[in-house]
This record gives sequence, structure tokens and C-alpha cells, in this order.
Amino acid sequence: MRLLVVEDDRLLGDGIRAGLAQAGFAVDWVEDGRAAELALAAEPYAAVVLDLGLPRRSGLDVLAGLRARGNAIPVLILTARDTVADRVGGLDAGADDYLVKPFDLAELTARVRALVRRGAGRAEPVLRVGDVALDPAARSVTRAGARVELAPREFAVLHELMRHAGRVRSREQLERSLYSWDEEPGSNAIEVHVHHLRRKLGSDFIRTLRGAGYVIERSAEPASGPTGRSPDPRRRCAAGCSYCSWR
Amino acid sequence: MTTGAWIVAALWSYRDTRHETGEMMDAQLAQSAQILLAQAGHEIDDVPVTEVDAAHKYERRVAFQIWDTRRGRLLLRSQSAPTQRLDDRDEGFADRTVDGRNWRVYSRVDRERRLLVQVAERREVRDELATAVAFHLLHPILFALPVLAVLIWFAVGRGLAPLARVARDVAERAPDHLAPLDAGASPRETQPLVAALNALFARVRATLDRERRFTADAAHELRTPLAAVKTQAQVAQGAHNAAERAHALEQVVAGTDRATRLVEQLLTLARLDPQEKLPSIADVDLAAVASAAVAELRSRAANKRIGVTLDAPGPVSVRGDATMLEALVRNLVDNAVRYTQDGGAVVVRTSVDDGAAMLSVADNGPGIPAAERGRVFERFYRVTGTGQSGSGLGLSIVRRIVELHGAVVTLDDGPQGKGLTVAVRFPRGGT
Repeated sequence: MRLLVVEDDRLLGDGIRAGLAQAGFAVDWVEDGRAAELALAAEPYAAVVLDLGLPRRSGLDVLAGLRARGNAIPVLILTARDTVADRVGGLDAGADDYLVKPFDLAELTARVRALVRRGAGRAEPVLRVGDVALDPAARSVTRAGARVELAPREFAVLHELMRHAGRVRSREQLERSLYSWDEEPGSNAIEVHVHHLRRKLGSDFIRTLRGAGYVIERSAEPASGPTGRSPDPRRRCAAGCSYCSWR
Repeated sequence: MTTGAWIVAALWSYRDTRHETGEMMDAQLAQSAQILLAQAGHEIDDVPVTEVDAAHKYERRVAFQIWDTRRGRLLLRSQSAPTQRLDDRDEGFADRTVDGRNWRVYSRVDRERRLLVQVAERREVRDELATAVAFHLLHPILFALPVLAVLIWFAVGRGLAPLARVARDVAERAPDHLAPLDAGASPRETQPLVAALNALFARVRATLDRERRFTADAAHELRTPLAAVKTQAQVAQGAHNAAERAHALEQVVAGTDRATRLVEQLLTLARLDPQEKLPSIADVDLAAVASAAVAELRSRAANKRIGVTLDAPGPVSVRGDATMLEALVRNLVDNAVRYTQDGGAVVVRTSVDDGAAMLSVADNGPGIPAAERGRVFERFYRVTGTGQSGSGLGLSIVRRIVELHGAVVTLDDGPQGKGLTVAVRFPRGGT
């Protein structure tokens, strides 16, 4: 999953970027409000971590602009001001959550995961398709209860396809949601990862639609949950799918 | 007070009454003696001592004797009079004690008829009379005093009621309740007091607001470096490899340095803030101070390959506080080095212009847009897009020190219209 971090403090921005990357996110980091708007318009982010005191365009302005354009991407605000008025102001401007500096890195990543999940209309943290279960927090995958060892990038591809179970993801879409600006995917990296995943999870778990991309069919079992079958419309925006650019 | 004054008045009138009644009664004695002498005929000449009965109870207090001077025989006396002579002398007034009684005696003699008349009056009469007069004088006062006391108490209380109300208003206030008192509701007498109190409240409120804002800003400013330190430390904990850990730990150190510097700057400003005037004034050589500051920051500048030139040809005397002036120069040079790009140049110059000491620090860095020059002296204001993590307090400290020295600071373009020149002009002839 790809995240945008907007933080003008270099030490903190660098730390958040590194910390979220450790948690398996692909992270882009920009230092001012204007750059944040450009990045948000261009890339399919799953969520935004937004500092409020930003140069060029304040965090609240960026947020208001997003919501005014109907963009429902989950936004977590970082604020150094801890008065009730400051916090309420951020939430009322359209933020989904906030953290007061200094915060705990584990809490930040947990909240981001929760925001992404909620943004997709899911309450259950563990993703299930058939007998495969993926726990984003523990970064673990089980198949029929048995643990499956995955490389970080394999996990990311699987996570992305399971998040959008039932819908086709093109290779380009996958690349854009899995790699940040400073990571250059190899030309056939996605194919290689899918190949490895098939070997570990069964050859028919991920289907290839020639010329379109990859899909994990939604299982008929109730394990995926009723909400999984009727995705929240916001989910598409949060994932930055083709619907968004079409809109 | 009132009672005391009244008692003094009563004592004085008692004395006065005694004196006046004394004179009056002396005159009566003299007159009585004359009448007695005139009426004393020869019919009493050869009679033995005659006693005259008392006709009135007060007669006990007056007495007379008529003596035959030729034979030294008492011819006539009142019942109250003793048998011995009241006074040895023949003429005039005298105070005598006979048989344990005090008498005021007047003697008069008729030499032809050889008759001596002595008229006397008990002294107590006079004392009683004077006392009675004095007491009568006191009577109305004894009645009036309580009434007066109540009236005075009431009047004073009423007169002071507005003051009491103001006092109560002020006493009942919470320490942070600094709204002005209602001047319209107070009577004219207390208006100046209320106005003075309100002015004080306004000043205290302004100070408190400033402190509160400063504390809030300071807390806010400290949160970001602390967040950076904590985040980087946790990144180091979760690092997958040595290089990642080393990088994160470097950032932890850098963040700690920044937080430290911020705290130092906050403390400097907090110490400067409450000062109304310089704590110590001496002749300070600005050139020497500038030279020291430049030497201190030279290695930092060298790290960025910034050349720092000191142009201080001779001593420049300034009246002021040496420590503060050092902080002033250090902050300006530090700012110049911090915001000037690698390989830049900084020139520190001290001079005397038209009798006024001058300090200028010029760099060829990015400068400050003219529109922002007014704001950079505000606390925690940072020019955006510099990529530098200053405390946002350096120029606030500079401004405060400049104010305390009665100097003026101006911002201008740097040499060749690029960068920034900060110029401080001290007052002519020192502070």
C-alpha cells in the first residue's frame, strides 16, 4: 500500500517515512502543501499522513481542497497543538483521525492500517479469501491455518490483490500502489512476485486476465464478510483505482 | 478624638468658671462686709457675744464675725462662724483654715468706730459651683456623643461604601480574572482609583497573555523535534539492517541537538523578556565581541565551506551589556551561516557612522523577501522553503537585545542585491 506523508520537518518526515516503510508501506514524502496536492492528484495513495503547519499551503487547506473535490482518501493529521479546539478543527475539516506529536510509531502505523481498512468499509482487520488469511498488522499469511512465508514485496502484491478481491488490477496499477517514487520496479518484477505467490498459495489462487491484469476471485464463503461483497464506493478512491481517474 | 476634645473643653471651662465665680463671690463678700459694717451700730457695743441663727441651710457655708478692735472682743457672729478670729489681718482677702474648715475670708475695719467685720465663705462652695457649671456644660455632650458617634459612623461608612465595593470586587477576583472594573457604576470619588486599577489589570493581562502564548508556542515548537527524536529512535529499533539503524541514530542525535538549541534559545528569550532595562551597563568593544563570535562559528561555517570575513578595523565602543551583545552578534552570524548555501560568504562589519556604533552582518544567501522582513522578528516565525531547521527565535532574541540597548535593527538586501544584510545602529554616545 502506498502512503503520502506530508511533513515539513526534515528529521520527522524522514523518520515517519522510514518507520512506515518498515511496516511494509510504500511511502512518498513531500515537505509542503503544494507538493502534497500535486502528489495526491498524480498517485493512487491508500492514505495520507498530514502535518498541519506546512509551508506554501497549510495542512487544513490541503485537506479542505481534497474533500471539496470529493476525494474521500483517509487522512490522518499530525498536530503539535493539543488543545481540543485544534483537534476538533482538524476532524471537522475532514480528517479521519489525528495524532499529537510526539507519537508512537507503532500507533501511527496501526492507525494508518485502521484508516485504510475503514476506508474500504471493512471492520475485520484480517483479510480472508478462501482458505487464505492475510493479517496486515502482523504481516503474516496463513493458508488453511498453516503459516506461509512471503517476501515483503510478495506480501504487498498479495495484500493489494486481496484488498481488491473480485476486481482486476493491472500490472501498472499494482506497481503504482506498491512502489514509491524512489523505488524503481524491475520490468517484470510483478510477474515474478505473482509467480512466487502461485507457487506458495496454489496456482489458481491468482488468475491472470491476458492483457488486463491479475485478480483474486472473491470467495463465496462468508469469511470475507458481507461488506467485502458490496464494497463501499469510497474504497475505490482510497485505492486509487481506475474509477477515480475516470471520475 | 471627639470625646477627648470635649473633655479638654470641659476642664477648661471648669477652670474658667472657678476663676470667674471666685471673683464674683469675692465681690459679694466685700459687699456683705461693707453692709455689715454700715449696719453694725452701737447697740451691739456692750453686749456679750451674740449668735445669729441660721435661716437657710446654705448659711452654714457663709459666716461673719464682728469684732471690737479696741477690746479685742467678739461682738457678733453667725452660727456657722467659729469663735476665734477667722483672720489675723484687718483688711483684704485671705484663705484660712479654722477648726479644719477652709474659708475664704474678707476683713474690713472701721477705725473710727473700732469695729472689724470679717465675712467668710466656705471654699467648697466655690468648688461645687464650678463643678456644677462644668457638669451642666457636659450634660448635652453626654447625650449628643452616642448620637454623634452613630451619625459619624454612618456617614463615614456611607462615604466609604464605593471604596469598599471596589475592594470587595478586587478581593473576590480569581487571579486570572483581569476584566476591567465597571467604571460607570462607581461614584466620581473612586473613578481615578478604578481607572488606575483597570490600567493595571490591562497591563497584567497583556503580560499574562504574552506569557501564555509564549508557553503554548514553546510547547508546540518542542513537540516537533521531540516527535522526530522519538520516531527516529523507534525506526532505529525496528531497523532491518545496520545502515538503516545508523542513519536513524544519526537523525536521533541531530534531533536532540536541535531540541537542545531550541531550549537554549527559549531560555535566552525567557531571561531577556521580563527585563525593562539592561541589568549591567559598561563600555563594550563591539569589534572584540564580533571577533569572538566569528571565531566561535568559524568551524561550523567551514563545514559548509562558507567564508566568514571580519571587517573590524578599530575598537567600536558601545554602552551596553557584554553578554547580551555577544548573544546578539552570535545569533546574527549563526543565522547567516545557517541560511547561506554551501560555498557562500558572510561579512561581519563593525564601524562608527556619524558618532553611532554600527554592526552589520551580510551574506549572499537566499535573503528574505521584502514582504516577509517585517515578520521574521516574530517568535517562531520561519521563512518557508529554506530547508533549515532554525528555532525561529534567533531574530526575536536579536530584536529584544536591540530594544534593550535603544538601538535600531534593519534588514536589507545583501551585497550585489543578493542575500541579506542585517544592520544594527546603536544610539549615538551610548545608551
